[in-house]
Amino acid sequence: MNILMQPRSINRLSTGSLALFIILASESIFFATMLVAYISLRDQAILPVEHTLRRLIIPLANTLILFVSTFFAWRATSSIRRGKTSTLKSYLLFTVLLGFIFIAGQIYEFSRGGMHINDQSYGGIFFTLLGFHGLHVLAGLVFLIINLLRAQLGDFSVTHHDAIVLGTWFWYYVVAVWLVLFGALYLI
Amino acid sequence: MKELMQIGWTWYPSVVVGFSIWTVCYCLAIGPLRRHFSWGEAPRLIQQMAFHGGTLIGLLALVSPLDRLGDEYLFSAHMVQHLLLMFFTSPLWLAGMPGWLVDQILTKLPQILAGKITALPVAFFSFVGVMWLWHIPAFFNLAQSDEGIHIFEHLTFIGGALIGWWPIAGPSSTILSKPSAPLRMIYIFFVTMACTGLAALITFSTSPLYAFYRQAPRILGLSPLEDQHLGGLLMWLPSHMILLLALGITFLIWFQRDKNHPADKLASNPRFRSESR
Amino acid sequence: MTAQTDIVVKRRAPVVGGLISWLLTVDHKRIGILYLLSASLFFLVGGLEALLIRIQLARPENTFLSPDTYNQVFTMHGTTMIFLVVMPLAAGFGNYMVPLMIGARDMAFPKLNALSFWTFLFGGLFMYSSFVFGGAPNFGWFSYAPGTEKLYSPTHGMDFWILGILMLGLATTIGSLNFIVTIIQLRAPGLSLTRLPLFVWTMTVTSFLAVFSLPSLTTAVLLLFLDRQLGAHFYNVVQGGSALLWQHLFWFFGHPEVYILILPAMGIVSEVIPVFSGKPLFGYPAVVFSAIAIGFLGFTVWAHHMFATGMPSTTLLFFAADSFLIGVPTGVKIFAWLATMWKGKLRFATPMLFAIGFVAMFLIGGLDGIHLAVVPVDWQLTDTYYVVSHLHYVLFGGALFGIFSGVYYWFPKMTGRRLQEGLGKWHFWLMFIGMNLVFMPMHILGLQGMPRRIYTYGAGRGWEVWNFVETIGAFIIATSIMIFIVNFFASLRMAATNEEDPWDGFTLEWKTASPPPVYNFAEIPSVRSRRPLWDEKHPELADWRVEE
Repeated sequence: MNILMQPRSINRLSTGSLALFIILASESIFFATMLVAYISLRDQAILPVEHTLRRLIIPLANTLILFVSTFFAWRATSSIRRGKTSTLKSYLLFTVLLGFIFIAGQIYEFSRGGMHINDQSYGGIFFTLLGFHGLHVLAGLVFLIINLLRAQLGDFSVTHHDAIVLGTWFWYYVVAVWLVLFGALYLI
Repeated sequence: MKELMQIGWTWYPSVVVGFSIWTVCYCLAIGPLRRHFSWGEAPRLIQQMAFHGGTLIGLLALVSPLDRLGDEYLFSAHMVQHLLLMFFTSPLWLAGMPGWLVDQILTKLPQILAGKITALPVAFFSFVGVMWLWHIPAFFNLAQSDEGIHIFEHLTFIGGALIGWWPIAGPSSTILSKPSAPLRMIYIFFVTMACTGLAALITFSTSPLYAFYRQAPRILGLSPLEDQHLGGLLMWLPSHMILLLALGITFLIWFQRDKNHPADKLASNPRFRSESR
Repeated sequence: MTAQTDIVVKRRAPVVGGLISWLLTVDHKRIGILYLLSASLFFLVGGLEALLIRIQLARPENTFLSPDTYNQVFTMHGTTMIFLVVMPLAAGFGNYMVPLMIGARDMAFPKLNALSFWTFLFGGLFMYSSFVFGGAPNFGWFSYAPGTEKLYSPTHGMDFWILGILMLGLATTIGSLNFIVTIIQLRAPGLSLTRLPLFVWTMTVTSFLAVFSLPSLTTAVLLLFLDRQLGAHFYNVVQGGSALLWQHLFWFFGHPEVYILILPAMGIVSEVIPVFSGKPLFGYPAVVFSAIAIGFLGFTVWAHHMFATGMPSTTLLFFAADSFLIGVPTGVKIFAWLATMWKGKLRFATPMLFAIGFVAMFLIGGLDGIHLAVVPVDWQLTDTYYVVSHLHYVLFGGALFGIFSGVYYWFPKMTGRRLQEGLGKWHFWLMFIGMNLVFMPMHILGLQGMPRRIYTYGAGRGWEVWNFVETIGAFIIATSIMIFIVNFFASLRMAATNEEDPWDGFTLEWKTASPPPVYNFAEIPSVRSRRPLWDEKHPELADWRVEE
């Protein structure tokens, strides 16, 4: 029944990339509205937690972890561009592992928070923002893990590796959002 | 009103000299140097007027009584100054620059770098980042209290705006191509959203955000909060109108260009392939 | 250049027949029909809710509905008509027609397309199940916090609304994504964006509006959900939250949303009027830019829904000025439609009647909006029936009339038969008269101070006369809809004539069979102007000749 004689269009941007950019644009507005909510609520709040260096250690460490993971994600893409599937898998694995370490750090940070979601609104928005970022990190990890599994099954080659590129872009995005959140929530 | 009349002009040497050198360089480049090196056609008169108009507006913003009004009394006046720099001077300078001038400069610079700097995401974050960062109260108050940092602030505004306006108002260089018209229009939309967010936060705030202006001497009967709200409005409406204008001009250029080069020429281009079976 | 000769269509024998094939379909035409049918069913439900409201309000101090039931009914009426009727009707026509109009074989992501539909249907049914599980949401379709916090809305109705909205938002986002990628990637050769049919243009702008505005709604309802379920305090002023935050987040979505509701209908009307005037659309670039400008400006005027919240006067000024400005592109469109009709060979078939009705009704509704943009006027009229009148003129007289125009216009393409003209005209005139009977007096009621959303009112203010008239009008509308339903089924039972091009159309969908085969086009057409079918039918008068 499903006769799909789908014409392929040759465009600079592949269909998948275009779809991903639109999704990322939409997600950016999501984070932006939540950030604006954060800024306006913070205006009215009494900051319950002091920004000392000790408080910053885990977020700083997490930032470093994400930076390094970006490097690995980049290497993964350049590996498959040269057809090297084995290094692709290794780099993907490292990226995923670092991602999970990040999540673990976030969970630890939440648990020793000192603020709770049902404290006054400032605590709530703080955790909500980081929580939704964390969910996006998890989504990115799922994407990368699926890529890893597919790489294991031999799905990718020099000419066909769209999913790797998209997965890397999504990972870059997640790291970029973290940088903005880190700046807004911890540094200012 | 009397107080307003008494606020004098601030002829900062750095500003006057800097703008003069800038103007001289431009005139040399499009005049004698261009003819000598055969770089290309002279920019149209309206382009040259745009460039000089930008210079004049920038100069006025920085040396006229507006400067002292903004630096010492009113947040709203200060915002007008920044608006003039970021939304008038910078795009006008870009509009006045001929494409070959950019090409000449670029042949001396690594082109990859130039390409990356003017890429849409970088342009966006340069413009928006500079705007948002300097409005954080801690940084804003810092710039107000230290003249060196204040000058740096203005330079970053101009620089960020030049990069940010490049995709839209930048000259048609042969080396640095601009993104497609629809993409430029989406870019304008995102810039507008970023401006909206900042203006909304400042205008809808229920308390004065900037310690400096809370303590500034009152003038024109404006309380600090009223002044802040007025500043928000002045940031909001003119910038929106200019961005809307940019949207319209980009659209017009797109449709005009398309009328002159109909897409039929692409009909034989395998942009599109059907598959059978 | 696509020199395909015979395309052999290898049909896999269907695994299961009939109904199941509809459940599993990824064909954009079938998904379009699924959207249209589901939305029509929700339309009947929403219409029933409207009748219930009108019966309750027909007399002062009426006891037909209890206050709480009334609140649930009007909340679901609004939510249904906006999210479960107008948006999916547009999605339905978009799904069916956009690939045809751009010469594609399907949408870019057919499976995702199916996912959008089923998510929408599930979301709508989920929301409606709230009636059975303790009560529907009852605080109005824009659910203002803090009234919708757990303390003041203790039933689960709000939670159903929130989760339903999230599902519907997901469906719309995926669907919009699909439209954008399809329109950018799958156009026929020669079909540059500057030659796109207006309906496709408006679907593009609508889709961008959706993906950029829905995130704000998502944030708003997520924060509300956290407030309600986890004890957060985002909208609770006492604990540092902000009631206004809800309004900002909601209306930052809500205003682009109203353009999402009207733009597809404007696109349909921009297709119908030229065809039934025998002329190309006047001022195509201006009409396209006004759609883009409406979308662009739509994101900047949200606080005109909040004039009465105590904003500083500079802010009031900004939003008032911007709201005036946004009337200009609409004015440009109306001028373009009228200019298209001027000196045209007008044919007043039913699609054209609805299109002209659209222009007239939307003009009234739009002017109402301009009145409300005048801040002091708004301070008197906000939350009165004046606003109810405005929104129904633009949504009913506007969006719905435009959609009905599309129904009559495209029914032959989708079914191979025309809807009967006689019944069609009855439908139109009764709906037109009924609509004006219901919503015109609401201007007066609003000016007299009748607040919206009240479940009853006292006698002696003079409101009862108009309310009674409006209820009569509502039943006239209901009658017109029944006529339409009769027409619909009767026409389907007639023998198919399978006319490819019953209206002498201009755009590519009229080049296929009626209904089109699953692959749409045997050979992907090439396009040389904005009216490819006109060019083909009249090679000597082709648009591309004129342009050269």
